[in-house]
Amino acid sequence: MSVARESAPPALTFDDVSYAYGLTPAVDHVSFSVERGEFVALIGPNGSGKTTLIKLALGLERPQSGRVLLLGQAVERFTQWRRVGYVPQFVNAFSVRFPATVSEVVSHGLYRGLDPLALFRRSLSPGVERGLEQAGISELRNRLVSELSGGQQRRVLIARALVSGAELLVLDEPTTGLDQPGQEQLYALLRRLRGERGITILLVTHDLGVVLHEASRVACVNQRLFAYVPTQELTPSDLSKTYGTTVDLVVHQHE
Amino acid sequence: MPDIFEFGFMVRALIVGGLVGVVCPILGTFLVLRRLSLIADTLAHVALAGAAIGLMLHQSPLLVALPVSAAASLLLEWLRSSQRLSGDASLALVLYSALAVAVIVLSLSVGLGAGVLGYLFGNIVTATRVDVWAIAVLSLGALLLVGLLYTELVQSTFDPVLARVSGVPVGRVNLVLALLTSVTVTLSMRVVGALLVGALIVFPTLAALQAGRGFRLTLLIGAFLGALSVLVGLTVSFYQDIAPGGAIVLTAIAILAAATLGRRAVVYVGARTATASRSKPSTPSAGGGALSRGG
Repeated sequence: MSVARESAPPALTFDDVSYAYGLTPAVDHVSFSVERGEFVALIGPNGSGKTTLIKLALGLERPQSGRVLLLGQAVERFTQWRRVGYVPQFVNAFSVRFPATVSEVVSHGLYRGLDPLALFRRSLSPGVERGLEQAGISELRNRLVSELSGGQQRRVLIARALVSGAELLVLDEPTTGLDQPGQEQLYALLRRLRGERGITILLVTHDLGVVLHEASRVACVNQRLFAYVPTQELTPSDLSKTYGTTVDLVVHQHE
Repeated sequence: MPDIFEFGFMVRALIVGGLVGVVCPILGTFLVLRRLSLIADTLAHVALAGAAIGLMLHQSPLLVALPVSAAASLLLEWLRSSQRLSGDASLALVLYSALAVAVIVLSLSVGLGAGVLGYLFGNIVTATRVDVWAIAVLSLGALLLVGLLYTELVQSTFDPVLARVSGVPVGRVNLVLALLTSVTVTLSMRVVGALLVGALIVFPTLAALQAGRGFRLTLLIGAFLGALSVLVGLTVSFYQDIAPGGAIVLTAIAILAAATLGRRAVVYVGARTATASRSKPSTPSAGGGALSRGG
């Protein structure tokens, strides 16, 4: 299913990365690489450093030791942000009546730097149309984002992340607050994107069921990296060490 | 009844007030959506302290107030972005420090009270030529800067973290917005007064947000309603001989109330229409109505 590009460097590499908030360690000597075309699920209990790892991956925080490589480049010198799509867990605008249409928000993903004429450009460019189609929200293009359901808002953020042709998609607990159909639609979209575009996905989640059915590899973190294995090789022992409690793993085979 | 346009000071007041009325809601849109509405109130009190210092030193109060409020805006942005203090605590710190300075300056100088009152309650009709030129040039400069940085301002308001990952220099954009706010607040102080300047920034913005349109249209509607509030308020104050600042803000409140009621009416009628459509399953457009309503 994955489209590995052998000559290309990994989409993301953590090389002996550590980070602490004051005296409290959040990430402790973590090393792993996300290869191109993979769907990696990052799991761990609350406060285990998952979101900190995402911040380090995106250059929002600097590691106190070790290094992070994004698409083969040191993240602190990385400038090709159009190659990376990010879907955060929470967006400021969704808690206020933000007056932007879906196409306006999706067009933000095409940001290329200072554009003095941006105020006069139409939001609905062909690129934005493609992003809306890929995310399956073309019919919402003129709706205000603040009027959409949680699932629709996540799709808008995914369209925004995809519109620039992102090779790596980073999602931080994207199903928070979504009902079951909303979650299923979201994962169906990710499956389709991976199949059609070979996009690399790094997903933070608490949902072990999703991990087992959707991800190709699993990274188990709790400050340290306890396992980084193909999903089918994930063991109850890996989960027990990560969560610090006994975990039973029952895999249901769906028809 | 005298013609308002016969008086040069009123014509100047209408032009300058109209400009400030346009700029305030444009900045206000970004501030309200970032939950920074009260920053205007804080910076207005800082600008008041600056104006008092200017009066004491026999300098142009506006030209002294501008750098003072600009410095305060940068301090506020630093406190906020470095998370050294919570947002409301940093606003309180700067606001009361500025008020303390203003009170001390007033107590040190005899006869400053009347001059400072013009900045506390606003009195655009007494604006000097320096005030008029400063307000005109700086208002147009602020509009130009917002136009140039439109995408950066919108994206960093939508979500600062998402904007950073897209390559938007959020830190620098926030500094520019802080400086623009300090300039706009200081200019507006001459029109509506330090006590009411926040209203001119927030009320037309809230009214424009009721329209439920895209960002550009919201900015335009806010600018129109801000200018309308100032022009109507000034005209009413001229003919009724009441304080311009109060008249302007009461006009803005009336517009906000009308916009809110108008939106509720539209939502109510829309809900009634949708209910009626659902009760007639044969109506072909019944399913598409909800999707196309916001378009």
